[in-house]
Amino acid sequence: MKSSGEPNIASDCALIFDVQDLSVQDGPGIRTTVFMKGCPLKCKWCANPEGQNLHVEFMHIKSLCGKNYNCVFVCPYHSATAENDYPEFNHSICNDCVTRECVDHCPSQAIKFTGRYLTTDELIKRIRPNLSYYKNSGGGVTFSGGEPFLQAGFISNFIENTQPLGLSVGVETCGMFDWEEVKKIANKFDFIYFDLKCMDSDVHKSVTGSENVKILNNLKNLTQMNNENITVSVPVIPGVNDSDEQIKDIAVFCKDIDIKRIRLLPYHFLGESKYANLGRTYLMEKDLSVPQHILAGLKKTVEVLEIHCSIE
Amino acid sequence: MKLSDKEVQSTPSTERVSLIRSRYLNEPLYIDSEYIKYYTEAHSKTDGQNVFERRAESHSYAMEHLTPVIREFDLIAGSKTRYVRGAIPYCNYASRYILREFKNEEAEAQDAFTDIGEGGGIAKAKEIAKKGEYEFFCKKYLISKEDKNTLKSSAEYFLGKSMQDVGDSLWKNVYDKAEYIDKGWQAGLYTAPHDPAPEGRYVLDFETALNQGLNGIIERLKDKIKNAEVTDFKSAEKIYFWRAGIRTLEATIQWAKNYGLEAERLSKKEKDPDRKKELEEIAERCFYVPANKPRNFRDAMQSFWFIYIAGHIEGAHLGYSPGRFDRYMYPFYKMDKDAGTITDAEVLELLEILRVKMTEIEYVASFSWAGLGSGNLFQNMILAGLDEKGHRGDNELSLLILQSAINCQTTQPTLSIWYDDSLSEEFLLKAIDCVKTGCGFPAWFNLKVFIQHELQKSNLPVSVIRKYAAMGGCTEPTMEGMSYGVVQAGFINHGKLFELAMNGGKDPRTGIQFDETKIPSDFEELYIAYKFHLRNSIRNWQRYWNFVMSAHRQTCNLIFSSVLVRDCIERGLSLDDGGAVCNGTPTTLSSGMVNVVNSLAVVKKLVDDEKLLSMDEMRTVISKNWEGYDKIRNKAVSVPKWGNNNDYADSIYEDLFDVYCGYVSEQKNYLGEPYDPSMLAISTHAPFGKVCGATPDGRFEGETLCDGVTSPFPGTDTNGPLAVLLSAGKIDHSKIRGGLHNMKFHPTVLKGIQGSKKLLSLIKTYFDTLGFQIQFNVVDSGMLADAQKHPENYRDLIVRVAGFSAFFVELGKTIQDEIIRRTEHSI
Repeated sequence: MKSSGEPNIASDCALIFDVQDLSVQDGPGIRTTVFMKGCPLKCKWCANPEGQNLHVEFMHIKSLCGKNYNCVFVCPYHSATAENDYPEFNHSICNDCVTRECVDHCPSQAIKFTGRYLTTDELIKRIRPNLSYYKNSGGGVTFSGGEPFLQAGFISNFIENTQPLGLSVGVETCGMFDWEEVKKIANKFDFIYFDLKCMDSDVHKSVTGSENVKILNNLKNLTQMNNENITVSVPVIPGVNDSDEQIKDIAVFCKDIDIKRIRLLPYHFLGESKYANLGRTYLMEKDLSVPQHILAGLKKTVEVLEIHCSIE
Repeated sequence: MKLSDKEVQSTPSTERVSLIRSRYLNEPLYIDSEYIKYYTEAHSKTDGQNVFERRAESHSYAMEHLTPVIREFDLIAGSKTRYVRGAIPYCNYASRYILREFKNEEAEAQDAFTDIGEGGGIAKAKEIAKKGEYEFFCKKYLISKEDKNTLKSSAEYFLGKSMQDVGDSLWKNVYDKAEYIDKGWQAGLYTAPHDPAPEGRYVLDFETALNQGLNGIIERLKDKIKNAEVTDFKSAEKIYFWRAGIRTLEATIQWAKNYGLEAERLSKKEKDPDRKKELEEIAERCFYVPANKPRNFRDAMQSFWFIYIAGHIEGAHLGYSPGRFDRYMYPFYKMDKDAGTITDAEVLELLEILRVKMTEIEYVASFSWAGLGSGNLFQNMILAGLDEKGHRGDNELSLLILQSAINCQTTQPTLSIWYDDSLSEEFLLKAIDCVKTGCGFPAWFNLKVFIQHELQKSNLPVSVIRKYAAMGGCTEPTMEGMSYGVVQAGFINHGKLFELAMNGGKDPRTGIQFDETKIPSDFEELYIAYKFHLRNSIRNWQRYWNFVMSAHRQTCNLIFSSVLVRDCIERGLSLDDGGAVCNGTPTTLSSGMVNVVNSLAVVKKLVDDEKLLSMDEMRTVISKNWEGYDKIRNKAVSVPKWGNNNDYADSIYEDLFDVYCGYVSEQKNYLGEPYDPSMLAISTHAPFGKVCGATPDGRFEGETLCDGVTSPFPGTDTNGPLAVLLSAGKIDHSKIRGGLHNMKFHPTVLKGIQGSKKLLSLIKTYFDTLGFQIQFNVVDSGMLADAQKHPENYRDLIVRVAGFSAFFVELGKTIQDEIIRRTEHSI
């Protein structure tokens, strides 16, 4: 969902915040997950907050910080200060920094800029040596993020260029994308993990910042093109969608459009420290968790409708 | 994560195993002087005898007099000492280090850099020592007052007679590079002399020993003598060797019978009828094997154990291994299973007991070697592989052995797998289950690569290599039952060589001047200097070791092992005289090459390519341990390093690897074959790192060097685990005997059957690129950090460290730190 304020990215270049090999939970086999930066949703529980904004961002990794304050001394913009225990940064200044003196002078490598532009060729060059690992394990490449379809042109270009390699490509999407851009490639994926948070549009808006109408339409459209390969992913968030009714609503909707598989992803707070590193505040309560027996109950709710259900 | 949350549970299969295992876990370490007392007694009475017969007599006399101890619950008789965890101080190999302990003299120069663990049995030993009956010895053992006196007089007796003293008196006087070797020890270029425990790294011919029985072998020896025709001194010498063999085997049979007598004695006073019956059966068995061919699987277990442990007693071993246990024991298992006389549960219990018994063996060596080995004896049991026709070698017994390691978590024996694509999925998945327990094994070895190596080295038929390929020690392959044992001189420190190259041959830490070389001003000159020092240090080290080997022949030639290694009997030659089929096994070992490669890459990039600083400035920066040079260090850190599938650094590794292999093979070993290159780390990377200053790769002064052979230096593998494997796959692993690649996984990577299959495809693909070895740690760092703080709660936590397993809490702190730090390949 591009807005006019965001940079226009050519289809052979994408903003990516991580390329991770040996991803074993993002689809079958040994996979490389390409984390694409930028997402139209702003889910409160997002575990990849660095994937939300479609621009490069400054991160100060506190767990690595040796507190030697070189950053404070070398910053020409006086963005780093030593007022508290850790050095503090004015992230709005740092995000735009191109000289990055602090990176060069930090002995603990505690500062990084997340997000880099990668061309299709560069990405293919990056994954090509892994091909035999994909082949032997039935793996491949998975686009994740962020919202990969925010940069759909890049993915389309990638798929076109990797066809001769026999590469398996999968995608994990939040569902908020322009159908017109995605429909051309919708049937090229070996699997699509499609996030569905809840059926109630108001609740959806309050926790993700957007209504869900477009998402539901996109899912319907997708099912008409690539039905067999779609799995609906439901992040199970305490107090948001962990009731039997809400999961049932999702399952009924899925049943209607003939979705075969749902996976439940219980809430975790592993991304929590990244918020502070980005200079943001984590708004979820940290100690929340979904008890096993609740998950098991939700799984049953789904299975009653003869939809295959797994808990990741 | 709690240990109980593990996907694969580890519980001994019977109450008996639990009891035997916890008895071991709660036992401190002892020194037992009984063997060396009798050995010394016989040795002092046989002055003037032929060298083989004197050695045989000393050992045999001691064997016949050892006190047989059978403990509660035992089903298999025989142990190396009278203690659950006992070590024999082999004064006949080296005695000065023992006397040095007595005098409380400062330990060897290197000891200051070696750090021995504090947890577990070591802590308990300290407690017992406080009570007074036992004293503390060699920093981690208890010794009784009586044994202490015996030990002292034995150690004094062997002054001038031990292998070390005989060797020293030769090479220190006549070897023109003697001073170089000595400097090398002082500077930390070499590991301390390992004369105290030089044996090992081979496997006896258990197949023949079991199936012919020791009586059968004695008959063969007698025949040899009967048919001998003496024509010259060489043919006469053979008779002495055969006679020595007979003496040793007969003593071994008697030693086993003594256990039978003890079992009989215990059975007579035993009240519990079940235990009484067990003891009677043990007694009957000890009278029958190892003299005769086992009648069933239980006999075979007892016979194997007697033969194995008898070999262990004869020499000061590290890396002495049971080899292809699942293969040569299988016929006995199959026979009983077919007859319905044993169940898998019963076999499993015996296999679990065997694990504890192998873990109980301890050794004592010079203090610095003990620290390096972390008390581990590197007993390697290798599973599966291929048969002589090239068909898969895994069987039902292989599965039970894996299960026994899953159930009964002990550090020894290390399990390894000869990998081939044809192995059954059931076996492979069970092996992954074992990995998932976090015990650090099995380690995976690519049989295809070893076959290529051995075809180049030994010229044996491919069918023989397939069938008898085994592992002697942590990651060194050997041909089972046909290879020479004493294989190496110790390790060469690549990090120190780099410092010599940087500084014109002068060690910056000690100021010791080695051969002078031009102080380099660019990459090219540095590389030339490095290669000069590498070649020099290898050649000097190998030639030194040949001197020691000649002393070994005169003092500690192994007789029992010789008659159980093909073709010593046929040729009438002991192992030290070239009796084995394969005499090309002696290796030259080194560790730390990755740091050198990375440092060379940094110099090439920053000094030559980018001209960020001059070589002089680089020397200044590292001599100041990077202090005040954060920016330069960050530049150095960002230069591509080994393990990222980036040719900038990888091409340097590939070249240096070939150079190293070439230099090693230039020299011949004591038996006239070229030395075989090998690289390992064991734990040398910690003490080696301690003696090295900062290096251009960003490493700080004293920091541990890289472990393994192809594993990246911690923190430098920024491109993920596949890139690491792609780099590691670039070198020609068939050039070296042994290799090591550590990977650490968070348990979530391997979750479920899907996780297992993914790990298998990872191994397969790495081996498709002709990688040789890979092993996995499945732990999380939080658990390890907690174990460091609270060792009492983690007594049985096992972690893989470079080629072997040890209880984590008993490892030195520097190693613990590194385990925690090693890049976590999580998902």
